[in-house]
Amino acid sequence: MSALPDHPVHVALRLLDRRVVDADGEPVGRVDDLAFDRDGDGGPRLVGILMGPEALGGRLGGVLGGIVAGAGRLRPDGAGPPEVAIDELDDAGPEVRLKAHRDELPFPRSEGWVREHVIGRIPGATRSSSSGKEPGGDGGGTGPADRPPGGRTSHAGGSGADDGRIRASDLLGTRVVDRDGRSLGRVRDLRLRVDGDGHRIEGLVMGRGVIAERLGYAYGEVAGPWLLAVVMRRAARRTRYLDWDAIDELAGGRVTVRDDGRPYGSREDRS
Amino acid sequence: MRVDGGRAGPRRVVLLTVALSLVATACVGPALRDDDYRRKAVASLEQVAATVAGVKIALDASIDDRSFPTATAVNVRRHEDTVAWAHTAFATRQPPPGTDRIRAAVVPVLAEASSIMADVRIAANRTDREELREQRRRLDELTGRLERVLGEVRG
Amino acid sequence: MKKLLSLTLGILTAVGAFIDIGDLVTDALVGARYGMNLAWVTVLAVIGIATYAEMAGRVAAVTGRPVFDLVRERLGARVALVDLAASFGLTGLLLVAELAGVALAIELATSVSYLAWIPLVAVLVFVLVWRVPFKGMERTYGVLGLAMLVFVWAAVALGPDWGALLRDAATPNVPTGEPVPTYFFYAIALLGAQMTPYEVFFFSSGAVEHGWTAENFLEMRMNVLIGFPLGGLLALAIQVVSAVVFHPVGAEAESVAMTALPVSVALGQVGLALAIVGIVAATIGATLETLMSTGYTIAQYFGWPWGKFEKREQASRFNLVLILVLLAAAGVGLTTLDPIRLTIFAVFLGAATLPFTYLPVLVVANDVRAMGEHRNGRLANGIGSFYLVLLTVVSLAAVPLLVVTTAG
Repeated sequence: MSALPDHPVHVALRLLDRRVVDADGEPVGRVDDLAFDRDGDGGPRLVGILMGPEALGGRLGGVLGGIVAGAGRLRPDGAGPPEVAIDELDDAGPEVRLKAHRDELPFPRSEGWVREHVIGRIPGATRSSSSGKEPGGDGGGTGPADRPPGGRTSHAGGSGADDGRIRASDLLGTRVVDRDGRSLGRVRDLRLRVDGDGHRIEGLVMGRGVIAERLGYAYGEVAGPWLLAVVMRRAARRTRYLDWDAIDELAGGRVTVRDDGRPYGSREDRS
Repeated sequence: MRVDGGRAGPRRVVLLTVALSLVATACVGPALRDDDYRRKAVASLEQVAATVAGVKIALDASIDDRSFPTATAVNVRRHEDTVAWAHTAFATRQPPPGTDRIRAAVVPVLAEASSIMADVRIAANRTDREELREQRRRLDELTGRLERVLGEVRG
Repeated sequence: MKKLLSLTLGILTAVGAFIDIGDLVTDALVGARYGMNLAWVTVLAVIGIATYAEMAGRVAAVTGRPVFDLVRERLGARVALVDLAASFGLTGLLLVAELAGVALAIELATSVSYLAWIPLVAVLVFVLVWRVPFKGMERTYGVLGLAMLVFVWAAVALGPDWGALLRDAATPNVPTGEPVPTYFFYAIALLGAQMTPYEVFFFSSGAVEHGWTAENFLEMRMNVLIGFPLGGLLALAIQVVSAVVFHPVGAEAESVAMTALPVSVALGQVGLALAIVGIVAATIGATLETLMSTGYTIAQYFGWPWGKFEKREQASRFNLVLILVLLAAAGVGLTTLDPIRLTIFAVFLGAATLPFTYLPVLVVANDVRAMGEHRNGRLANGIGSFYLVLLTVVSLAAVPLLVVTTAG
């Protein structure tokens, strides 16, 4: 069973950027990007979450994104950002919980490295806590970096839509144009629906602004306070929704579509 | 290489830059410059007067044994810096033609303030009460002079 | 009985958290320069910070997520990164100012230049962060910070014309001869000093570190609704003594020494000694809070484990950030950059970043799916909306004002 809810999910609002914790509830990172597979019929299928600076840098873009991503590539294997398969998620509610314990994960490597080479060497660093919550046998030297990956995670390949794989960041923020080249705004969110035992992209949410979709006002998922709701709904009045099937082409940094979709944000659209 | 349409832009930028730098370097009418110099003089005098007012309160507290000698010394040191800075900043400013009278009135009183503040600091560091009383009296006189010059420059 | 003690200590901590170098500097400065004509800002700031701290505390208790977690989640990776850069940078600047503030207060007692004390204070802060548990740390400076009450005592002892002060405070105007933009520059600086973003970063992260849940709402609300107004009272007391002693003679108050001077005038050496103890405690507390806040914001943005004591082994990157930031702050503090101007600059610009910090808090507090029955009521939403509009205006006006007034 998938950890995601049965109802449609807006990924930018409900999944991206969420905190990721291990089986014990300890933070291990954030959902820095999402990986989809373009197999079978219908929209791309959600296959995993991408974490770490390399994935984040790719999403940020620009010089800064390059720097962040570069920091992520300092890892010895250079295998791309760590990816956790969607069926390794225990829950994807307000935060994403993994089935694995952090010691079984091959990341974040930097945590182990810093512990081993810097923090662990300062006197007093390994003093056990008063509450005694510390898991035993993890003092100082043996960080996750020394452990075998354990087969629960893999590494995503390079970004790009060519290998049948696609990332959320390949779509989000991309300009949407119709067949005549008229701009319809940018992709602001992706709507997923349940398909068999997984989730597929059902359609795109498009808008000219950013903030109303991002904060959830465009879909009525956040209701108050009154003042914000009024302003945001006004900002979102040109938010539109487009079925995945209406996409002609996804290339050259833009999405070409065959019709201009429908207005979005009515009560039925709420997830 | 683009040839057409790309030339008006840079030229406009150059003109704008020249215009802005003229304004910035105060290459403007003499009346405006006089006014500016007078404003700077008033600001310097006011700054020094406000500082001296603060020092007098600190000295009173010290003379009445209401403060620690260390705190008074620190306080006076800071204020001495402020006065010295105000003095230097104004004295080294190039006066526009026709403002020599302002300069002649303001610079000496700022210099005097600076020198009195040095004496106050020496007295405060020595925690010599008699000397502090003496300096306190000089500060009163200084305030009077500062106000007189302020009146002259403003008028 | 134990519960009562815990509640009281919590409130004291909130009082201590409210007063920092920003308050000590700006309160005395505006009191001397404008009398009580900017007192309204403090009232405004206390209601605002109490509203948003309560909201952030409630969200943290219900969802387990502190403010910068929400910033990343709701504003997205890019906007949140800009917010991170601004919040981290300004909190870092404020850290430099707090460090210098501790050193300046010690200088008052020793006459040895504050520059000599900065490295020692930095070492002390490192030891506190490294060795003392969160609660103990908070409470120590919270209780010592009570010495700041000496400013209230001094205000009473000075025996001012309370009616006149109250009239000035109730009918504020720009004193004659004072430029209007400068008046608003200091109004924003004062607002920024009392609603500093790091206060909510720290308060909400602290709520998570304490392990608060919905059962701790009473404790959390007492801290906010009693602690912050008491802090505001202290801030007003600093303004009053400064207004009474300095304003009539036109003296300027732009140093820690001048902030403490009215207490000498009113109460003599005992008062001054208490004031110095209070200032040292308040600024050490604020040094710790700003330092921790820089670590919290970065760790929460990237999803690193964070936490002060219990999780040292897991939170190595968080601890590394703390060490590096502390070293950098001590280094900047030693450059003889005027700490007072730095403080004013940091609190002023801090006010400009407030909408970005508060918006996600307000939104999540209204998210039914995240908050359930604990979501905002009408009161919190009404006040919250008002402040969001106000702070947005402040934010837009900030940079033009900074240019026009050349920072006061």
